[in-house]
Amino acid sequence: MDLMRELGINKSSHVVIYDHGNAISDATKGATAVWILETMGHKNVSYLDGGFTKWTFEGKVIDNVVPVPTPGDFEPKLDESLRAHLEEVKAAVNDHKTQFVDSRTPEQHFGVDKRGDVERYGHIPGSISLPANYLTNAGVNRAPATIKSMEELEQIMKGVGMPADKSTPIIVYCNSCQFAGLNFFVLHDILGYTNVKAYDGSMLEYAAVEDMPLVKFAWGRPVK
Amino acid sequence: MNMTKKMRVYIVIALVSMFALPGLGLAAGDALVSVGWLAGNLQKKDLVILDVGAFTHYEKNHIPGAVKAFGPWQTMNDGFVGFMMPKTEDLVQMLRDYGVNNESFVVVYDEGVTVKDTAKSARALWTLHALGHDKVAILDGGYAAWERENKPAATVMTVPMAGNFTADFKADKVATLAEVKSKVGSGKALFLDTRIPEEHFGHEKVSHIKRFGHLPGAKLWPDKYMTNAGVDFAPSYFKDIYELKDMAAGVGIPADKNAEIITYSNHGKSAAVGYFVLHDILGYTNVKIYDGSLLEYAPLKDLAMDTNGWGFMSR
Repeated sequence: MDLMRELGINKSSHVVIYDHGNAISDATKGATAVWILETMGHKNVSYLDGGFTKWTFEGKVIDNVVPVPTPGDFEPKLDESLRAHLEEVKAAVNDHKTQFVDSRTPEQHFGVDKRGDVERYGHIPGSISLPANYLTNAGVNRAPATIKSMEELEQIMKGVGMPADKSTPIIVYCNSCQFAGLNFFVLHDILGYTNVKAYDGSMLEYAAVEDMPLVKFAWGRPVK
Repeated sequence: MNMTKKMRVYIVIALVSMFALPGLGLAAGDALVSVGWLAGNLQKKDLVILDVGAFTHYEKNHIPGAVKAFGPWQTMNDGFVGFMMPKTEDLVQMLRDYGVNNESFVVVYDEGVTVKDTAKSARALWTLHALGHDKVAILDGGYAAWERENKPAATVMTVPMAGNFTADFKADKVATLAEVKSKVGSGKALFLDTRIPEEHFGHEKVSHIKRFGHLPGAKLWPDKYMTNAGVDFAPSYFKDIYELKDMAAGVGIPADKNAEIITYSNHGKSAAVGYFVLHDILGYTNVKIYDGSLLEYAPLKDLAMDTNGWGFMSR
């Protein structure tokens, strides 16, 4: 709350978020910030497609003066329907109704690679692999990290086995819940899935809990 | 606890192999030899060691007695498609020059650093299989493993005696374009893509492959998941058979060992790693390589390729 106020955000503000816009790790920062604001109850938030890189590619005005914002009157109203906790993830693993979506690399999903700080290999049972990388055009002909077209995104959802029913309960996760922010943004804010949560603790938390199941050496399949 | 379980499995295997009957032919796993085995058998009668790595590497260091054998193992065919199996008579001449006889037990090895190195050996092994020569094995981990175990290196080039190798071409090892056309999407054969997930998905491609994506319905098992190359600086050792078995199931390879499987990649080289793992480690009997692979397939616009998805998700 304090941070939002210091940044000059008011209850009435329309917040536009942008990032460096160059690589996937840029786009995920912006998208995760959107998720954080939405989870804090501030729904009037947008994401600048392609970030600063696209802004400069199009020759828009830039400056180097750091603005000093007037403190805002932002009030958080936590919206827990957008965030999943470990207990909920535990229950969802067993209900066979929740579709988990893994935003990490295919190697991490398959369990042949992992980040050093993640305790174990593999993916949460009931996950499908939708690498955040595949959702933007970052790097293609030096393109900024613009999000792929609606048509392509819909095709990708079909191609990775996302349920057609947009009200299916979905939990997105990655290693530290940064990349998952982009999957959240694409599913929730672009494609209109209505029941999407990001698992805040993600694999950093999950893999350290030894009795939580992980699937290794297999591609995840849809729960239904 | 894992170790104990693993050791128990090894003991069972050791017992089983003690009672294995002679004359059963090559059992699964025999086509992969270790540094220890090769070092102890360098003087073995009928052994031919082929170094299929880059010739610059051979000239610097190689296994004593190994023949410089960098190929060409793949050339342009009559249809001007590159990276295809050369004509049989050319291969026969090349193998004779390398000193290969019909009685030879051929061990192929490569630099052994990455799976791209291993693919050279796998392609050479498959080529010999296609020429009807089954007495061939890959040195696990290649030269990197040899070096890591402090085995002696030679710098003087081996000059082999000309061999008497003759070919008995096995057409069932090679999937042609016509065969692929008739089988793709038909459910008659399982197609296995051994490229990286990004290429399979159609998010990336190498520039000389004309289109993005994969053969409709193809399963995905990247060759680099099949070895331990780079894990804690390891040479490109194949993963152990239990891990490979798990993965085969996990990527959707049927349990039926007679299922028809066609592996492919960009140039049919990485596809050979898939061939080797399925045929020689896991014991699948009906595996072939689509020799033309995407280099041949992708430019043919009337042939379907799927993008923006995983082949294993399609029905």
